[in-house]
Formats: sequence, C-alpha cells, structure tokens
Amino acid sequence: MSSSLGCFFLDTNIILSEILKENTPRIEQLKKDASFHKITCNVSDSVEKEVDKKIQEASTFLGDVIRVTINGHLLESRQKCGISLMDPMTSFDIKALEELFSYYYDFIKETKFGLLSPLSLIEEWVISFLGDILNQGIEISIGEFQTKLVEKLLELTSDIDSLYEHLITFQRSFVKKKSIQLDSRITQSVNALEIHYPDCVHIASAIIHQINSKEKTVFVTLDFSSILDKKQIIYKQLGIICCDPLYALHHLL
Amino acid sequence: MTIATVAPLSDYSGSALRFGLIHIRPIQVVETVKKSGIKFQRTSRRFESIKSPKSYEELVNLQNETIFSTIQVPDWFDVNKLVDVFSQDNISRYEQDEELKEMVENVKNTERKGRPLLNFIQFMRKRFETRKDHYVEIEANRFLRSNFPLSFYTKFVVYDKTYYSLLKVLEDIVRLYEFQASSARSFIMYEKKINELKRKISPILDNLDQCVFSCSCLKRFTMVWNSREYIEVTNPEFLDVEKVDKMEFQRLSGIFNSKIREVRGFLLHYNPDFLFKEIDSQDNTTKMFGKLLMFPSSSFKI
Repeated sequence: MSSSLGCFFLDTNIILSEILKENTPRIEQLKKDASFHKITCNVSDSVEKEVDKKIQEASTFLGDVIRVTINGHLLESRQKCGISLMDPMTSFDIKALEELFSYYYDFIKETKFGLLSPLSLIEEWVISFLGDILNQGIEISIGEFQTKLVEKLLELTSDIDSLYEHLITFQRSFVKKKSIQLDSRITQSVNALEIHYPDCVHIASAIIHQINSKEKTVFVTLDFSSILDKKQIIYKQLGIICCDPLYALHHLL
Repeated sequence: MTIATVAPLSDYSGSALRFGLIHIRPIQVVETVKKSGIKFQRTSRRFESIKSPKSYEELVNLQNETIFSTIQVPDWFDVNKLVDVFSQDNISRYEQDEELKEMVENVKNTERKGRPLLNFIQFMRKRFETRKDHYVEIEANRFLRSNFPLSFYTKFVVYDKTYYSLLKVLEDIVRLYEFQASSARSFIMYEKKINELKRKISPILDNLDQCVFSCSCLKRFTMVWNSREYIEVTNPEFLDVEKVDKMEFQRLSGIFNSKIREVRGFLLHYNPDFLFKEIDSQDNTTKMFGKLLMFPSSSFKI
C-alpha cells in the first residue's frame, strides 16, 4: 500500500549505488525512510534503460582496455627490448604500463578528450593487481594476467546482472517500475534548463507522474553537478523537488 | 597462454540431466534366493531406462538438426554436415566424460538401496561447484580471442550461474521426494512418489532445455560464421563480430537473453533470494567499477 505522503522517483545513480554498495549511508537512509513511511520508490523506463546501458558501456570499455590497449602496449614494449612474449611478467611490464598511462594523461591534457579520472581508476586497479601478484612471487604471463583481469570483471558483471534483475526486472527489493508516457513539451522544458539527455527525460517522467496522479513527487538523485545545483530553478519553473536521498523524506512531510 | 577449449558442463549436460532424472522408471524385481538351504524371496527396486541405449545420440542429433534449421548458415557449409560435426563433438565429449556417463548409468542400474537420484544430482551440483571458476576462465579466454564486447560473455557466465542455481533447486526437490519414496511401504506408493518427483522437475528441465537451446543457437551461429572449414567449426581460432550478420546476431542474442530471464523468473518461485548477491564493496574491482559508473558514458574512451 502506498503512502498518502507522496512518492519518490529515483535517478540512475541511486540504482547503481544500490547495486554496487556505493554511497551506502545515504541509500540506506532513503530505504529506511521509504519502508517506514510506506513511500513508493519508482523507477521510470528511461532510468531502467540508462542503468542497463551504463553497465554495458562500462564493461565494454574496461574489456577493450584490457584486450586491446594494455595487451598491445605490453607486447610492443617487450618486442622493442627483445624480451620473449612468453616470459613471466616483471617490473619491466609495470614500467611499460606506467609509460602507457603517462602517454594517455598527456594526450588527455592536450586534447581535453575524455576525463582523467576513469583512466586513473583503471590504472590503480591494474597496477595494484599486478603488483600484488609479483609481490607474492607468482609467475604469470601476459596472457594469464589478462585472463585473470577479465575473469574478475566477468564475475563482477555477472553478479551485477543478477542484482539488476533482483532490483529492477523482478522488483524483489524496494523499487517499483513505472511506465510513463512521455510528453515532449515537458522534456524540452527540463532540457531548456541545461539539463541534458537522458537526465531531462528522468525528471520529465517524475513531473508527468506528479501531474497525472496528483501525488506529490520527489526526484531523488546524487547528481550534484548537473541536477542538484539547479534544484531551486527546477522547482520554481517546473514544480518538481529534486533532492539528495538523505533529505527526500522531509520534502514529503 | 593456455586456451581452454572444453565447454562448460551446462553446454552439454542438459540432456544428461533429463536422462538421469526423467527418462527412467522404477521397477520391482522379485528373486528367489537360497540361504542355508532355505528359499527366500528377495524384492529389490531399481530404475530402468525408458529410452533405448542409442537415444542420447538420437537426441543430440535431433537438437543439432533443430538448431541448424533455426539459424542462418554460410553457403560454404552444408547444413547436414554441420549437424553431423556438432553431434559427433557432443557425443564424444559425453563419451569421454567417464565420470558423468558412469553416474547416469548408475542411476539406471543401482538397486533402490541408498538414494541413487539424489546421488546423481549431488554429483552434478558438486562437479559444477568445483569447476565453476574454470568455466569463467573459459569465457575469459573466449573473450580475449574475439572482438565481441565483454557483455556478450557476461551473459554466458550468467547462464552458467543460473544453471548452477537450478541444480541446487533440483537437488532440494529430489532430496524431499526421494526420501518420501524411500519410506513408502508398497511398490505402488514408491512408484507414485517417483512419478510425482518427475512431474515436479519436468517443467524445470523444460525451461532449462529452452535456455540451453537458445544458448546453443547463439554459440553455433557465431562459431560457424567465423569458420571456413568443418575442422574448425567447434573451436574457431578467433571470433570476429564483423563476420556475423548483425540483425541475426541481435535476434539470437535477444532470444537467449529473454530465455535466461524466463528461467531466472521461474527459479524465483523455488528460491526467492537466488538473484541476490552480496557484492564485496571493499574488493578493488568492485570499487573501481562502482566509481567508473558514476562518470558520464562519454568519458569511457581511450
């Protein structure tokens, strides 16, 4: 039974945080509030699609970095120095990867293409993983190293797939799917506030629901840089409250 | 690099499950034995196969005929020859898998003493458990020998994990019904309980069969379009996404994904929590992936 207080519409980052246990205190507070006050946590079709797309894009990106970028550079570095491709990995390979990542950092700084941080996340992950293996004195070839990295990703992405189905496809947790018939005029008015696709569609879905159901609706997000910093103007012009999960309940009381 | 070529258990043992648990019927054998000069009647119960010994081969052949009549095949291959090559590959893997073959045979030949059906399903589950890391390694190696996106291989790992969950559900059902059957006083009651067991697990295996079929269609499709000779069709050197027809690939992937979803939805009736996984948020891979997802997709470029 839903609450007379109103309902929440959740942004993509809330779902991803729940799946990957990021921002746990904020998400747990939201879940606790929603459960105690019987407030429905809706997920629009557009959020559902974006969550799925983001997971796929991130895994494709990581897979390609391992399969193409890292592999290609390691092989090339070894060939230049006449080291056999079958030899176990050593600090030489870690230094070759250092060179690879430095090259990309310089390239990004010069061209402003891409962002530094996703690359540094991969760098930390790859180098610490290889460093741990070498510290333990384990012999590993480039091929085996790649396989181990991919195995870790496959284990994780398959678990994420299950959690996505648990949460969204089969609605076995605190989330309810809500199909919304979009109105392009509303989407465009959100977009006019410089809220880009697909965020403007997510917010438009919450607005349409609020209008159609006459139920007070709060759009819950962790996006501070492009939604929450405009929350006043969004509310003033479009009548929808956007807020951080910690405070969502109090906007309905 | 070691390239694993052996397929996961779920690739070829769907039929073995059906053979071990469904294509059997309980029989009662009454023998006269002489002990210390006195004649006794000894009654034993066992399982016999409903199908003829050649049925496994026939079944595999039929499955491959259906698969190749469903998918597009390049014109440099003859469909009948492909059916033959893949069927022989399935059969030889089953034949080489002495452990599995022996277990299936044991179910049919063992006397009722003990719990032959439970032993069989526990054997399948435990074997999968000990090999599941290896199955992930197989998919990782397949990914590295291809230019297909990682998400394509993730679905095969999801499929293997679903298969494992299904084995655990089957084990629970078999344990309960075989226990009830083993305490039955008459053969009629015993037979009734075994038939109840078969009725209970049949829909699960039907669901699994559809999933195995859609998985096989997708795998065979990518394999044959990446081969030029019959000798390489069961294990092509490299899987090139450009060599497969995109529309057909999307159609088969869509069917496969929806079949996995159906089986998982079906399994939720038996185990409502099986999709819930405890993700270790302190694990480096999880932390990296979680942070990566918070960036806009446009930054996923190198």
